[in-house]
Amino acid sequence: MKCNEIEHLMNDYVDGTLPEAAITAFEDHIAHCTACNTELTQLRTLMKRTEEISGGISPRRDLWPGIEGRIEEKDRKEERDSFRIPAYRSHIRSLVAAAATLLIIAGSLTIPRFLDKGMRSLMESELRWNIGMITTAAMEQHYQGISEGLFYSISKDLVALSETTLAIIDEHMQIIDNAIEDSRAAFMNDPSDAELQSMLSSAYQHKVALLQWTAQLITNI
Amino acid sequence: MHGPSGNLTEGEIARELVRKAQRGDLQAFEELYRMHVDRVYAICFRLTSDEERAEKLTQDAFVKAWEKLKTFRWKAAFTTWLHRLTVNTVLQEERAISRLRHREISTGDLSNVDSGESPKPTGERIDLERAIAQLPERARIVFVLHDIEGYRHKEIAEMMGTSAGTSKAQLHRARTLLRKVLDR
Repeated sequence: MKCNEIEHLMNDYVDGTLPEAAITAFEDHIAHCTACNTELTQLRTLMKRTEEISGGISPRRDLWPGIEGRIEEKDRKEERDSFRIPAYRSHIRSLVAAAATLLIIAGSLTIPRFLDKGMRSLMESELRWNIGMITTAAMEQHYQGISEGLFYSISKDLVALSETTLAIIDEHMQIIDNAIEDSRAAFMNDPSDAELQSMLSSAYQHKVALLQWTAQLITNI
Repeated sequence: MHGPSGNLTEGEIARELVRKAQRGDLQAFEELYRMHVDRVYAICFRLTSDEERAEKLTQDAFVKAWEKLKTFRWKAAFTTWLHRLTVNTVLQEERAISRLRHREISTGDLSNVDSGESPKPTGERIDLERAIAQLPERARIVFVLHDIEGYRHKEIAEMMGTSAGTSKAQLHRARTLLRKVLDR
């Protein structure tokens, strides 16, 4: 073996990953070559010193208050969200009855013709608003059902994925959840806007797709 | 320590704390933080060579650990899980920063190891820490993960989104540079 070959094998040798067949030739060379021997000694010294520093280091300040604050803030946000969504759903349910009445009026009488134009326009817009709310509530329930079902089926197997993969999935899920949240907020401001409804629907479709992809990933392991 | 811990071993106490924290006990989680913060901070500091970022990343890692704790299933030791999560937290940020920087760090040597702050009267340990801090970024990350944290090249490659061969090459580079510096 030549010195440049030895240099490339030196790490494997000290790490114990050098193939058995190469060890004898390596050791023979080291025994007769002062330069390589010196390099090996230096490498061993480095590794010994590295072992000595492999402990902990205390941070300059107590980091716990910041951690605690962030955890508590997240908990508060989750509480607010969990309050807001059921409230939204119950609002939807109460609207179903009112909108159904309006639909009957719209279907059987159209909008009463004796009403003046302003009043009719107001009723039409209210009708569109209610229909938007009802169809969106149904759409959300549909996708939430699928998402929850998918998540339940893969949750116990998620640990099979690497931390990196999990982190990426988590990051994507966060983005999608934010998109759902933003779309819903925009839609709540104007439930008659079909485009906003479509955006919300699209965000849910992405969520389902991501969960299906994750399930596929787990199956392939 | 809260609760009856008189006859419990250190491992059992830690397991009990993890179980409590999994049920939402923030006080138990604080105790886990106190037990592990020095190692977690050391990982963050050695991977970034930046005290301020290391502090922020340590906090990020513990917040993430709290959020993911419910999914922890004891397939590995809690410490192993926490350290892996910490490394991933740092690498994720490193990747994000690299994307923002749009530049490759390609320092070829450690000739600047003695520049910057005036040298302090320190021991060998600090010399090595300083030399590690001044390694090129990717070589430093591989060195810290392999030689200090004990990960294998395959694991490092997976975490860094690279190949085991590249990881080996970076380790070779890091060790060679460190040997030269420490031999001066």
